[in-house]
Amino acid sequence: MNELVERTLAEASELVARREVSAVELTQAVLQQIAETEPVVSAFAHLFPDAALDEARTLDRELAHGRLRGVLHGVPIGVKDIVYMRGVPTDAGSRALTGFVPDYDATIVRKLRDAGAVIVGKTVTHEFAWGVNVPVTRSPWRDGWYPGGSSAGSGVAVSVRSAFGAIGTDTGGSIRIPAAVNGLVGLKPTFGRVSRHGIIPLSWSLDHPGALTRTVADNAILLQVLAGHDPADLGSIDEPLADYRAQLESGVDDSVIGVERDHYFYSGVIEDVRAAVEAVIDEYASLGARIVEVQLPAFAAMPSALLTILLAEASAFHRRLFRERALDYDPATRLLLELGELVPATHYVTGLRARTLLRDRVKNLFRAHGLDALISPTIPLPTVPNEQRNQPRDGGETAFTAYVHHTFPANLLGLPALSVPCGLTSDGLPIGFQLLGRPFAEATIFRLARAYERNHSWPALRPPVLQDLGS
Amino acid sequence: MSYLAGDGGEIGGAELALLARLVGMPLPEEDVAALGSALLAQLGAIEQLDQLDLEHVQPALRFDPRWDE
Repeated sequence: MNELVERTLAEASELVARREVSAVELTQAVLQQIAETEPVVSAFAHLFPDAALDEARTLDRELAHGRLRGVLHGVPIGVKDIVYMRGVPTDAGSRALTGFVPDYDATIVRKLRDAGAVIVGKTVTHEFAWGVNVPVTRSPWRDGWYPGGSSAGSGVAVSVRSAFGAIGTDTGGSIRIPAAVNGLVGLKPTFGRVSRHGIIPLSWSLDHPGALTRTVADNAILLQVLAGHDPADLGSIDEPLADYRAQLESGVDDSVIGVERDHYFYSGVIEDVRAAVEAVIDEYASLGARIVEVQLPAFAAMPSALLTILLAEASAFHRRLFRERALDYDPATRLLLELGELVPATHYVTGLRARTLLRDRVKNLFRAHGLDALISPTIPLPTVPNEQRNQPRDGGETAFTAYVHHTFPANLLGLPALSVPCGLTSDGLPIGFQLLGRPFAEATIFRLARAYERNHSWPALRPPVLQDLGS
Repeated sequence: MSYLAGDGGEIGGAELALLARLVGMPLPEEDVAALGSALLAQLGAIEQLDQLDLEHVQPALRFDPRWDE
């Protein structure tokens, strides 16, 4: 393994900007890491080693002439394979799209390129990001266990140092779940903060693009690049951009952090996860935050409201392709698309009305207690064996439904939610906690997350597969 | 044409009885023909929308997560 891949995105960016390392050297190091790890983890659906090296050479020439494109100049990045890149395959993990090559870049791909990123490949996704089939990507933490999803490849690529950061999308938890099970930082930004133009939709009103990284600062850097109003996305919102790194080291001050226990600490939360997140809460208190116990019975309604909207919107998007290519879809995805066809319009509208009501209830909760964030486990349990993901556990719920029990509310509410590593279970599997913030308050949850992160060495966590490979 | 429709374009009593049972609705025999025609007309109207090319069109729905609207 080339030691360069152990650097964080922020460090790699600075090394290139200071000309201590060239974009070509950095890209070669990542391509070597990909060559070593891909046979084991299959994080990438498509790789572009030649194009990446060509781009790196161009970036080095530009820098030699004094032009630094941006904060990602020469930094290798992965992009989820539902995001359009001009001239390269985008099959969204589905045989139904095999051979599809977009003729334009998604807005976020253009922004990455404008900032100098070197896109090394497209990362594996669950089919069309629905999150129900078993992806080809393998967990670097435990072979045969769930790698997270739907941004499975993005999470694993960053975990095994095959990219300094990777783009994911999150409709019901698809950034935060792979972040949590791979020991990474993952942000689902506020709805409307990052453009979806050029991203294959799963649900127009619930999709959120974002990034997975090893550190909070790296994630803040990527949000700075990705964020901004885009008229080409009807969901995009024209709100001023914050400087997401400016307050990172400012600590928790007198921040107010809420703890809601009926939903987020229900009986499905396993003991190791519960203990790890309680320790984080205690640490925030010791750092000077005010911890407030809050209650909001409305959380219980959020999963069903979200699922109603998601089922209907996903099936509406797939309506034509599904009729033409149904047999090319994975049976698990197909089942959900069939289900979505059965959601009555009246239920869909009821789901949208519930969404408005629940958004207002959460707004009132934050305002009543002066909350800066709500803290919870990102997901109630760590990764599980692939074959157990959809098997009922105690109480009848599956691991999949337990995961989304925790992640769905942020999508329904459109609020920013950040998953941050906070330890390992007794048998060595990553645990994450989630900070749910106010609308467009990503800078606040980054700051709170960094106040915790800087006292720990979780960003240096290395999955066992790297040791197995001698990396 | 709807998946429910038979060769002649009609929706049969068996299909309607199944739908009625699914939604828990009592369906008297004398209402079957009229309901079948109405349902078929409605499905036909929806299928007309399929003739539009909506491939890259976003729906006119917009969620705003902001609190001060």
